[in-house]
Amino acid sequence: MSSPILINVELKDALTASSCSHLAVEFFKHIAYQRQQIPFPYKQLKSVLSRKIEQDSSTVTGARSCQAENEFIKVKGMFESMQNAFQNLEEELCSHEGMIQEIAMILGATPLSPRDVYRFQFPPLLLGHLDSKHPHQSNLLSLFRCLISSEDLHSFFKQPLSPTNMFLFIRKNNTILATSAFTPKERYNLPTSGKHAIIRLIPPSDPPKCICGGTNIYSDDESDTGEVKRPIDNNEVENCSSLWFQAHQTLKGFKDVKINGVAASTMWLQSR
Amino acid sequence: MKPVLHVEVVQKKQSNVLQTTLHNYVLAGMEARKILSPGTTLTNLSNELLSDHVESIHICEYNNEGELLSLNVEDLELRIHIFKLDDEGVQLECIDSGDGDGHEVSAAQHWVLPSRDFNGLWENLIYESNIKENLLQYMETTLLFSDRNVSPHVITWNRVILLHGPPGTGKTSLCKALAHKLAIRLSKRYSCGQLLEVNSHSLFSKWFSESGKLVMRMFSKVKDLVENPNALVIVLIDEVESLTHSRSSSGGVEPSDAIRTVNAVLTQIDELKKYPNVLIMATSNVTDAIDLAFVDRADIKQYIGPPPVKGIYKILSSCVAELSKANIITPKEEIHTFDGIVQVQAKNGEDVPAFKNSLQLLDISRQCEGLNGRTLRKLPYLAHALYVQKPAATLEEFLAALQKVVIQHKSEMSELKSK
Repeated sequence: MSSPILINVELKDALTASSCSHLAVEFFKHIAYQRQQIPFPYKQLKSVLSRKIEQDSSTVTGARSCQAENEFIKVKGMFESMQNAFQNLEEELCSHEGMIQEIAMILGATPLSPRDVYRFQFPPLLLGHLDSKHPHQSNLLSLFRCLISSEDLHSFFKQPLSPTNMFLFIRKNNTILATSAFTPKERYNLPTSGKHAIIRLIPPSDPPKCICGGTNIYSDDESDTGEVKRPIDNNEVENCSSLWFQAHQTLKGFKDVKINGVAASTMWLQSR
Repeated sequence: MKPVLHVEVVQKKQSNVLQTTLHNYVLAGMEARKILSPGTTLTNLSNELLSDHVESIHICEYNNEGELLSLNVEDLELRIHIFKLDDEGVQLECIDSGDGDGHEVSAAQHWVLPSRDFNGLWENLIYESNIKENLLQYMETTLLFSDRNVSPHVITWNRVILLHGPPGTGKTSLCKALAHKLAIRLSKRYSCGQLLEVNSHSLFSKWFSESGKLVMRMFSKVKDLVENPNALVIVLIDEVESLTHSRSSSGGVEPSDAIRTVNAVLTQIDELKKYPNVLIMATSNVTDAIDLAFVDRADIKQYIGPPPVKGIYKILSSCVAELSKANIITPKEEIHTFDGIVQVQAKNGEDVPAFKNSLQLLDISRQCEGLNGRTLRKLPYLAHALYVQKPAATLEEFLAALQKVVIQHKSEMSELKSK
């Protein structure tokens, strides 16, 4: 196994639960597009699908449009499950039922045979801050600046990957879950095969003063000093008190198939 | 020493109770029951915690005996295996095709074990004597030896088994069921099991000399999986003769590329030998066509033939039971066990009204001798389609239809042969 690449992201603003979940989901959407699992960037895909839904599609004539329609139903289903999974992830992160320590996305046929592993690590989340006083934008900018300027990550993206599965995992130290979207995987550890990338959010050393009354309490646990102390190497003994949870929904990668040389997405938006 | 009885507990997918906790509850529940009937599956559980977290409890067949009997819990050592079934089903493992244009070919089908696809498969495979159990025992021993670092220079074993026999006897199913069973039985030692079914046809490249490299790449994928010492990896090579076609018989027709493929497979199998947690299973219909060097590497070469009368009777009665469950055969009537019915026949002859249906089924089973499992499991469907033709029938009507279908099938087969 080649050693994992590590990307440190120095944040400018305090990291609340909702901003962290936002960052994580945006990151995974970015990965899905960059690793050719979705044919367009997530937002564009969403708009293509919603424009198609708005169209009147009551009449389907001809073999080609029928094929395009089938493709649309398939893609819509996969996109919805993706939307759902991200929503569940956000809910789980924002709930106060025990701290989530890490999120991971595995690309590959099964969670045991990954091609790529992306680990998203963050410091214990701040409690008691108001979201309205901490817009996500500045942290999002810091994250994407790091992602885009990372040479290592680009070398990851260069290698082709045909559509495969994407598995979402979270790591927690208890079995209390806010949603029923995750299931504990006992005795599971991230496999060492495949390529690994670790994105690590580092909280600002001198957080900007805020007026929302939130104190800089990172967690109730006194031993937590707010610093990230996560093993980089998988071979290190993981904290045995924490457990991986797998999302029920497996995201499926897909391509914009060509029907007689015309992309399906173009056919959806063609006026009939 | 008390005899061992395996109990397999399927935990619900959403359940977040830890397995050790559940283990204690199941054990307590079993001990409270006092009497257990092997071969049964419990789905409606009275205990609240169990019904919330457990999908089903299967009490495995005891002492290689399929017949139902009751056992006292106190006389047994219960081995409880708790697992969750994987719902994802089969996934495709892709490798670089070597074309240089970034295309990928699917090299293998990948299941995470225990998989829902194979749940219940083992119980429905019926063979002569103890083939199934012996194979399971053999594989457990193999993995035990490997796990305990027994020197391979003193005792040799290759972790390769070859199943051969006529088509339709369930060789591939048996391999899958074995893998599933092993993953369950050894779940304490290995945290996860995986089955990799090699797509032999996609390993042949259109480019000369590339096939051998594709095989290498496929095996390096296997090695990636095997690197994790807590993963049990089972590689299934179905129709192995396509990958290891006898090199001596190739003559001038086969290009040398095919020979390279065989060589690559053989050397890669030897490479895999050094990993303790991998097993290779191969199946074949045409044993003559397999390369001798491969056959020699197989530790066990098991012949899987068509089931004997006892097996046929079991298969047909399981079919009848399934149809009764679906209310296609009503009213529900009991079919007696094979041993019981043979005794009745020996004692009283054919004319016992209480056993009439079972005796007729026995008669049909005798007529079916020589048919393979796949055909046998098709017969009830044909019987319904051709001669019953209504949503519900009595057992008598159904058996009469079955009898007709058997005769028809036999005449069809003889016509096929005479042509």
